[in-house]
Amino acid sequence: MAERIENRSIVSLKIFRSSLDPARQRLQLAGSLQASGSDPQSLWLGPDRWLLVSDTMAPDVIVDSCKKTLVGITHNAVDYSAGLAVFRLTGPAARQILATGTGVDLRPTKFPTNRCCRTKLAQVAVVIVATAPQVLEVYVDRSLATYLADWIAESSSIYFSYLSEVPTT
Amino acid sequence: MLRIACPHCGTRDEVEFRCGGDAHIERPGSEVSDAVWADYLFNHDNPKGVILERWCHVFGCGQWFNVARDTLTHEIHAVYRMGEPAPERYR
Repeated sequence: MAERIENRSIVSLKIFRSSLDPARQRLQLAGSLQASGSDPQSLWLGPDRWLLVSDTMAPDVIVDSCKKTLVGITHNAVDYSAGLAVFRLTGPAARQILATGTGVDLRPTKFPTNRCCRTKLAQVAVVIVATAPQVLEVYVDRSLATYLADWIAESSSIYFSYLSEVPTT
Repeated sequence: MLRIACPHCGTRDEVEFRCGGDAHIERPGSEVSDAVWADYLFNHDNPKGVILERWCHVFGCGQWFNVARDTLTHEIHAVYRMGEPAPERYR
């Protein structure tokens, strides 16, 4: 099942290279290819960049919190909520359906809960986060939301019709 | 489809990256002759063998890194971070 998550607060955080270690510590930022924490949850996009996301905190609260915590550290924290669309795919077929559009190994053993990666899905840049064994969240540029929703719907229908055609005897 | 091991993200499909041309090119100072400047801009080695080049992980972490790749077989012999020197045997 796929649904669009509305009204999630998303903050884009970039840290000046020479201050990465103290910044990571102070904000408890996620490590390589991980998602960690909550309110806000931090999503690792690269060695110096994260998304901070929350369904309860307002974006300006997150930005202010970064400013206060990162005093003395050159950084860029910006409300990016309007820039991304978020989808949640649940169920046993979620990983299989996404796997038809990306080269990243989405099997549960290779992409466990709290794994996060920025990659290419259906030819567009996305962030994929596993929040539970059968729940994947996908962040995409908002301008591509309709495109990706259509792709997910079409890929799901192809997947399920393939399943129904597989002979059972 | 090459499989390239980004130093930050691990091995990914070639389509996540963009090749940035030769690595370790040093831009000459502003007081050089036209010949030296032209050489810097237009003349590059084109070996039949291992080349050192820069790649950017545009559909991933966005970081640049270096690769030692064989131009004949496309085999990637080494990946090393931006700013690091090439492994001895490929210098």
